[in-house]
Amino acid sequence: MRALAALLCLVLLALPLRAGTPWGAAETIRSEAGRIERLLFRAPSPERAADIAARLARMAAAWQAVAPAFGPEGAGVAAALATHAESAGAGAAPAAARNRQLLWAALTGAARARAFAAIAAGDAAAAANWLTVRDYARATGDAAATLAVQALGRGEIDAAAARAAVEGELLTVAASELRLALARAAEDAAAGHATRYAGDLGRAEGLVAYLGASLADHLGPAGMTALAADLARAATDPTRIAAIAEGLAGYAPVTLAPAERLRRARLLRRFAALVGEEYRDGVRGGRIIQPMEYHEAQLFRDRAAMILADLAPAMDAAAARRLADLLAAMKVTMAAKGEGVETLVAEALAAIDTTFGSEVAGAGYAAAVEALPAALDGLGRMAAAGDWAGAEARRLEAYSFFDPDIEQRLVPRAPAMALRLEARFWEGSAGRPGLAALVAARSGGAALAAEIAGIKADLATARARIETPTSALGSLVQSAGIVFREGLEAVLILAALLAALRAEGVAPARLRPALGLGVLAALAASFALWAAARSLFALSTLAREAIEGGTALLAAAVLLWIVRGLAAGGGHVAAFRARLAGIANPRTVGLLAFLVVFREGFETVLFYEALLVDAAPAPVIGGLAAGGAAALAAGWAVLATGRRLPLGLFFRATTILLGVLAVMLVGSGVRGLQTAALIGATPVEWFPDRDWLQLWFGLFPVAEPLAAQAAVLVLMVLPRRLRRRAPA
Amino acid sequence: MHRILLPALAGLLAGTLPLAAETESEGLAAIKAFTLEHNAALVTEAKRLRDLVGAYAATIAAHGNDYAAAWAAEGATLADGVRGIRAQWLVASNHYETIEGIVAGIPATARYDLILDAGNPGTEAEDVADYDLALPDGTVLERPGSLFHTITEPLFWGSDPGHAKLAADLDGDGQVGAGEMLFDANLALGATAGLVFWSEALMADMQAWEPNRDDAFTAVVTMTPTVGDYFGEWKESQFLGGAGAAFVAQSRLVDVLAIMGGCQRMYAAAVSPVVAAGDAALDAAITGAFADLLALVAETRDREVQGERFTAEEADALGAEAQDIAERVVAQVLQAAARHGVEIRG
Repeated sequence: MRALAALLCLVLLALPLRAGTPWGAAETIRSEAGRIERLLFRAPSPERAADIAARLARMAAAWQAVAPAFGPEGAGVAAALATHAESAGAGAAPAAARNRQLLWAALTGAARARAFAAIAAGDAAAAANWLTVRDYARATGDAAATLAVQALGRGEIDAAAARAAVEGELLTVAASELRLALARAAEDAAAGHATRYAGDLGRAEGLVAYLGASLADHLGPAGMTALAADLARAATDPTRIAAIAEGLAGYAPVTLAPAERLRRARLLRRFAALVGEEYRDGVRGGRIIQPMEYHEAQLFRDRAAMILADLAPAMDAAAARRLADLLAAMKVTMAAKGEGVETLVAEALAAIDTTFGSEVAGAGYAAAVEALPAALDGLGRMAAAGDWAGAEARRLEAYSFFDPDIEQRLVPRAPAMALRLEARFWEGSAGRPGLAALVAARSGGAALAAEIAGIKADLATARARIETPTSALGSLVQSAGIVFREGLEAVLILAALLAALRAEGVAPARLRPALGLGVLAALAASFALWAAARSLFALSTLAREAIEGGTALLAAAVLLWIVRGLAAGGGHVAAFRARLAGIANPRTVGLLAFLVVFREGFETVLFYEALLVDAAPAPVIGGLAAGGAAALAAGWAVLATGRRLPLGLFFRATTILLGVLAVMLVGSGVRGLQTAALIGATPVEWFPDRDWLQLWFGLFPVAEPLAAQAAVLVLMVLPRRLRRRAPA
Repeated sequence: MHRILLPALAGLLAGTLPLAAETESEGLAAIKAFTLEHNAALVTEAKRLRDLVGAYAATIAAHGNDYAAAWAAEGATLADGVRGIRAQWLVASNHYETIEGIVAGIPATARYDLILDAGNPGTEAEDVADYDLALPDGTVLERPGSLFHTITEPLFWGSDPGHAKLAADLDGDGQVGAGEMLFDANLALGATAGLVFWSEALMADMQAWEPNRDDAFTAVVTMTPTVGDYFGEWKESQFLGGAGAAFVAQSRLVDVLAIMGGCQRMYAAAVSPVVAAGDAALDAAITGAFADLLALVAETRDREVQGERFTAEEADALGAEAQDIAERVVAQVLQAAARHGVEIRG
């Protein structure tokens, strides 16, 4: 033990001299008061008394050396120091615990006044020094005060702005700490921990004094009087703690800025989710199986409660109350090591998502751009460690940040860029393999590092495009572009089909209701899927791609069937028409209409949702109308052309058009299944790698979709060739 | 046991002495050198442990893997072997604990902390030690948990009855007390070989690590708050009447001391030069808070070694105080990170 004691002394000697400056003295006082509180838990002894006396003397000396620097507020510190010394010297543990907290509150209050004076004088260095004597945000990592003082020193903001930022953070932290102190007091009272309870109450009293005028503004004179009375009564009657907490429920010293609210809401969600994960690992069958996980579950719940209290004043009251009840129920259940925590967590997460929206649900753009580089770094590390399964998981995680959160915002602005960036997460190109190809080939090193760096660079470019403010005209053009691009294919398919059928004598009027019904049902289904994915279930990126790809292939199959029917020809005209009428009946046309519209519908809704994040509704609606009109005009042109062209020529033209559209659908469908990781992707060098071919014709330099498209071509062309060769 | 424990503790505490560095680059280099030094010692001691286990397994094998026959014929040799293995386990483990705060805090090496010391088995949802363990008999244990605390500690100390092969009066006092048993030699051989393999793998990655500011800040910010978790484990451990299977070899406070020492070392060597350059008062406050934290843990450990008992209130108070100090340190380091535009990862 001598070796241990000697080394402990060495540790202490290695400390820098902290006293000598006012802030250093404050830290000395803080530290020694804490050590005295710990000593007072031990049995009384002469050694203990001597140790406490020595520490009290050190505190007094530190204070004496710097007291004048604290200005008029120093008197309060001196009084608190004397009271603390008296109780600690007497060995009164609960009183010393309470007075320790009051002493710290007096120090922080005085230091705050000095910091404000330094800010007013434009002395950022002094302000920063004084601001080390304070409490910090323990759950949210706030640094606004530090950055404001730094900006003041650089001349970037004036004193008033710096003070506002500093004051806002200090008060917000104090309010949060006050709620924590009350929560701890309730727990310690229930556990019968008298010394800790006294310390909690002292902390609450000190923070009430620190919050001073801000709290008085909220509670009013009568409320402050009642609060003081409740705090005094709580010393002997712990039931008053609940009343105090209730009175402070709606208190927020400052209104959170939107960005700060968003950040806190995300943290709330993250902590709430972690409660479930940690508890699941920590407790099983009513037993703690991993103490660390159990402890973390409790810690994260407490932090979530602190953050909720910050957010609650600006929330819907019922939602805030519900979340508070859920967090309280988690605490009770976890304390009993009971079942049902995951259900409470799930309900809390749903409530958070409903209240704060998708940006908080971890699916938002801001969260995605923040998390994507880290996921890519993780991929690199996993690959470097030879953990290829982990690397693949990280790749998919990174891709899930890109699609949909970033892709949706990028597509309206730069669709080709979105397409290329997406390919980099998958097979890439023949000359430059993408992440999926590199991971599959277990190819790390420089190639993987270069691809990760390339994606990060592309991401920075994409962010610049996305985050550049959009003008009204730009919003209109983007909106029109979305609906034209996504809608043209469906409009052309349906118009060409109707025209071809009309040319063959099938009355279009018979098919119009089914067609309209199919389109309307697809639109309704798209919105329903969008709404359900927001509130009822999580639709993963890969599942969405699979739905889109699968629907496209199904649509292609139906279209191919109809086109083959159209192209079949031959034989008796009446028999052909009867056969055609059998294939192109209301049911198949309605189904086709549903599939071709639904295929793009869900994604189009997501694109518009993303566009409306930073564009005014009017130009977006204008663009929607203009783009829709343009697509419909294209469809009308197909129909109208049919009236002017010779019947045979028009029939062949529409059949070819439908065939081309079927090829496009197949290409998009296979591509969708590739980005859903359901089938592999092999880049080819021989096919041109052009944005316009991919965007408008679904022609990618990838072997699998090209092969499928070739097969479709063969299916359409071969029967016709065979018929020509067959004897009449 | 004290002849082993005290030097080990002294070594751990020596590891907590901050490394003062003149510049950030010197500090980062010193951290890497310190970590490599203990990593090399870990490899050496893990090999010794493997060799001791090899001798134990050979004794068992000489009797056709019949533990009862081996005990009947060579009981004294086996008892000595188990004692030696336990002592050697502590030596190897403490070398790792000395650098755990650094290894776990650096994103590039964090996975080794899960494999060697802190990871869960694959049955858990998170923090899983992602490796498979091959045993000499051809069995492959898929993601079995950390080598030190999930596998070997419960194995060698008999707190995992599933791998105790024979109850045996190891100390010769005429009774078979708790933890007195012969353990599964096959699992021990595989696990100690795994310790050597992964310690060497860590060494290779640590040698490749390029020390940088982001990693140094990240290590301090992510590892320091774990002190509250470790205190939670300490309270639940057998030393306070809990019933945990792990941490029977030595108090969790020894781990806390080493891990927080690593955090303090990282701060003093690599982060402090950055913080002090822009805000000497903040640097002094953080340095002081680390000293408070280490003193709290060391004092508590000292009292525990002396046989003092802690009331539930005091244990709670110590844990809460440690957590408060750690959270204050993290918040202060985050202020510096914000000032200097440092990215905290993980």
